[in-house]
Amino acid sequence: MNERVIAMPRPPEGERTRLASAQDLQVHFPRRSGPPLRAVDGVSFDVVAGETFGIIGESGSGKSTLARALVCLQPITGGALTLSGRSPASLSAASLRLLRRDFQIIFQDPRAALNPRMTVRALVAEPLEIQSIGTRDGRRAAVLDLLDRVGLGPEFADRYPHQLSGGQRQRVNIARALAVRPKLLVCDEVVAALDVSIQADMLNLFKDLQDELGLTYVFITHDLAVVAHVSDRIAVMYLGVFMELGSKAQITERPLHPYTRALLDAAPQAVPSYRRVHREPLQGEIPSPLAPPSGCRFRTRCPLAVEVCAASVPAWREVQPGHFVACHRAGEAMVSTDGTDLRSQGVRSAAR
Amino acid sequence: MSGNARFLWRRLSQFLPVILLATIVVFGLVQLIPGDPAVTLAGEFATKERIEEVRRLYGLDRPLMVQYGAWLWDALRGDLSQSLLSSKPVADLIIDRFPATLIVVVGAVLLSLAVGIPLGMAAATRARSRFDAAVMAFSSFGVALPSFWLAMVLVYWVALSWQLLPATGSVPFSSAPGDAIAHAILPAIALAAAGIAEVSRQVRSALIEVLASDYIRTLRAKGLRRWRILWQHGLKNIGVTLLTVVGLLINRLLGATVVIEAVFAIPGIGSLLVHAAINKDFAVVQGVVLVMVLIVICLNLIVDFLYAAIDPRVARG
Amino acid sequence: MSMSEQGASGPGATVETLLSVRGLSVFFKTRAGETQVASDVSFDLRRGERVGLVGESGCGKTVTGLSILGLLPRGAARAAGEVRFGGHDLLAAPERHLNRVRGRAISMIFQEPMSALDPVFTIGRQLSETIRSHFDVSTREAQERGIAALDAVGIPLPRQRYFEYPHQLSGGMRQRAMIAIATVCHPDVLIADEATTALDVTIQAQIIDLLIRLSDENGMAILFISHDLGVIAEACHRLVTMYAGQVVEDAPLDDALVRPRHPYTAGLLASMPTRQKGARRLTSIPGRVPSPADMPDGCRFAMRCTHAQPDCRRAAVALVTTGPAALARCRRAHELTLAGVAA
Repeated sequence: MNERVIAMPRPPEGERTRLASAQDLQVHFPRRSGPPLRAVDGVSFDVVAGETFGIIGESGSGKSTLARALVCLQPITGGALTLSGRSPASLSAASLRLLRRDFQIIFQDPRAALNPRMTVRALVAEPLEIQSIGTRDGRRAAVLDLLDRVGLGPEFADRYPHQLSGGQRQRVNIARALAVRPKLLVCDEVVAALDVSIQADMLNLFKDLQDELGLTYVFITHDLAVVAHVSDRIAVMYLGVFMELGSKAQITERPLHPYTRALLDAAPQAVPSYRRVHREPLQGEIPSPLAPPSGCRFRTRCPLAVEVCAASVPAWREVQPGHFVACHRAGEAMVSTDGTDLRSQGVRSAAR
Repeated sequence: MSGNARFLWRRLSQFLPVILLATIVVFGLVQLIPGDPAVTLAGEFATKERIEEVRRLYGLDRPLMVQYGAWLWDALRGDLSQSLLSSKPVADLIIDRFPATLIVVVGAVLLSLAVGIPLGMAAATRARSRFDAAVMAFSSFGVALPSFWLAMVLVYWVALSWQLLPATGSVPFSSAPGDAIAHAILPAIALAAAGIAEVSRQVRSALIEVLASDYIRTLRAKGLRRWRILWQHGLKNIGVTLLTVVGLLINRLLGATVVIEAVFAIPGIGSLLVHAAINKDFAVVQGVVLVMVLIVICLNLIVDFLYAAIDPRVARG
Repeated sequence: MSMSEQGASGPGATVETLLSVRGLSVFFKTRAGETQVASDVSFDLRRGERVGLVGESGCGKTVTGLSILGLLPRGAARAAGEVRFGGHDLLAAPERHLNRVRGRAISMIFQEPMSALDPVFTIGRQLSETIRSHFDVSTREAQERGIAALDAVGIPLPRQRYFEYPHQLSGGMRQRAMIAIATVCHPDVLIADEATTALDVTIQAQIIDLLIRLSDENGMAILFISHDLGVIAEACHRLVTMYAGQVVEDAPLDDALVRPRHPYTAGLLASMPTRQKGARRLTSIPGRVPSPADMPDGCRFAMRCTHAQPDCRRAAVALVTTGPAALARCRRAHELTLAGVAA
């Protein structure tokens, strides 16, 4: 079953620092009866300092579990995770706490993450106090500076979470995460619940913070337009494994995996000439992660599936420099079994 | 369906240990009652030697574990030993007395539901209105009202002053059903006051939550009539709450019946228990408490089974 | 499967108007008095037409949808104006009349199919009770119609699903079941309130296609309420943009997208990340929506509008005609050239 070849995606530009690295990383949840839930079932990738690494997947793909594993909130059950060149599993509690400062996470629901009885000032100061960073006065100044960075004036410092809008609450969360000066920020569906104009503000803010602070992001979302907008590289996740990984251009303009193409096709488009008018949407739904299909996990919904797809797990191979795919029919798979030319779809999405 | 079966099996497998634990507790509690059963048995003026002899005779000198084992083994065969006072088998006493209690308790439960549910529903559909406030005020009052006080008021006015219903006593249902019910009405009302209050309160708060949910809006959007939304979807959705309330209610009524039976002079198991306790008739106390505890445990098991029947999601959880 | 040829333009002007919302205002009762959450909302829905009602949270689009069927929270909200349908004003109609319209002539589906279906009744029961509250048919007949409806919305093994509970279905199947319940009586109008928002993108595409198919096959008009311009663009003929409780633009879809006439519509389009835009900064709309309790007298968008002039803030702005069947609530609608999406 696990005879898949592990090819390690290399950092795109030679010798830049690998901030986080996953090798065949697995997170399995044991169950009372039956086989374990394999939420993340062997993914390999590097996150390079300064980049935005996007992970796109539908519900049940395991992307949120992966997000938590990356910041040591979720113990891994197999494979290896390396953060700043060190393995969290081998560290003492004290060194692990120091390491975890560098790897912060923000979640979708900004309300749930904020104690309603604390002021914005106290909320932002809390991580500094926990890690005992700076003096009392130093922390006061740092809080205002952090609020300013995320676009909240000093007048917000004494408000409570319920006095803030959704976008403002998410900004407070970002300020909290930034307080300990992390190197990498994992953003798990951070703009999903926001209105489009607020979402645009937030995406701009992430970009500005990256430019100013040299942050690295792992941006996890179900929204293709968002991931394509922010990411340098994109991984496509389905039922606990990566289907495809490549640069933004490779994924959005020259996708090799039928699932990637289906996602691109399904994303609603406002531009009239890009609409799905004559595109056939992907049939069926994501199978239960408790009983993933044999062979390629996407085969039950894949328009190109053939016998071999059920028989063996497709290898994770590098088709072009930096462009990885796990598909038996990748590359050749531009023509469907019934002879329809599917190439047009890829080209349509690639146009312009 | 297999989810349901698994759920029921899990509940059943928890059932036996609970019963065993209950017997230990019942047996143990009776040991804690001050007084010596041997003294009671031997009579008030017995000599020390006579008491020791009685103690040996009844096996009261054996270690507690052995006594418990013997008691449990007898109980399993339906032998709850004999009354220390009347020498009648405890099981027979309980069987004799139980119907009188049952008719009052069942009547009280039915009354609580029949009045409490419509009252709670009416309050929920008019939440925060004056009517709602009145129902809630009545409910707080009903919960706080001592049932024995209400019982005495009822006896004084309804039975003695207006002569509408018999004041005390009980008639076996089998011999004269109409008369039996007439005798049970006042005690049932006295017991039900708290029940009505509790049921209407719980129905109201559960239903307010249900009525605010999305699926009620869907039902309205489908063009369903109000009464159907309320009595079919509303009632079934608060079914789990309602079952819990009924389960707790019966538990509580079984306890409260002890006092009510005293006020109305009903020869039920409540008065049997009181009488036995006063006279230090340990065998009867043990037997009655055991039966009551078993009834409560079985009731909870039935409630659990009904949960799964009412709410298809329970079995999965 | 695909949009019909009428796709781009929608039913012609000669097609009868089914539903006409005229001057609809919605008020919510609060401790401090009434706040107005929708002001003077007007739009029409023609047979077979799919109209998208877009706007951000709090713009009044959901209350507009709910008021059409008289589903606003009882006692806490009040609607004024007119909703003309089948010769009646639904806002003034008694509950008895509304119950004949609801689910029969106008249906509604909601965002969360899990919470919108009664968890303790089977899918079949929820279908058959809908049928039997509008038609005098036997249980058996209702069951057959219900199973046919499940089949029509693409639920596999409908005869088996009919007897299952909502929690036994997947998210996508639940929304299909919801649509089956809403369309089982073949309504003339379907109001879809964020009906695809909670779904995965591949499932969302399936549901959009299903709704388009049902609309094309049965001439059912759809009011698509969504915050997602992309979803509306895929499905609708006409776009109605709402802002701060008002309709600010009402135009044929592609006209509104390619050449928006109201700066707010243009702002929404510019805020949307797309894979075509690349990594450029997004143009967001500065500031925040004014609160209903503190609505400005003049143009409600003026304080966020980069094109605003002093005059804009002075007096309320009326809808002006900007083209055939196109309206915009902007004093400068005729002089501004606003960027939309590529044609």
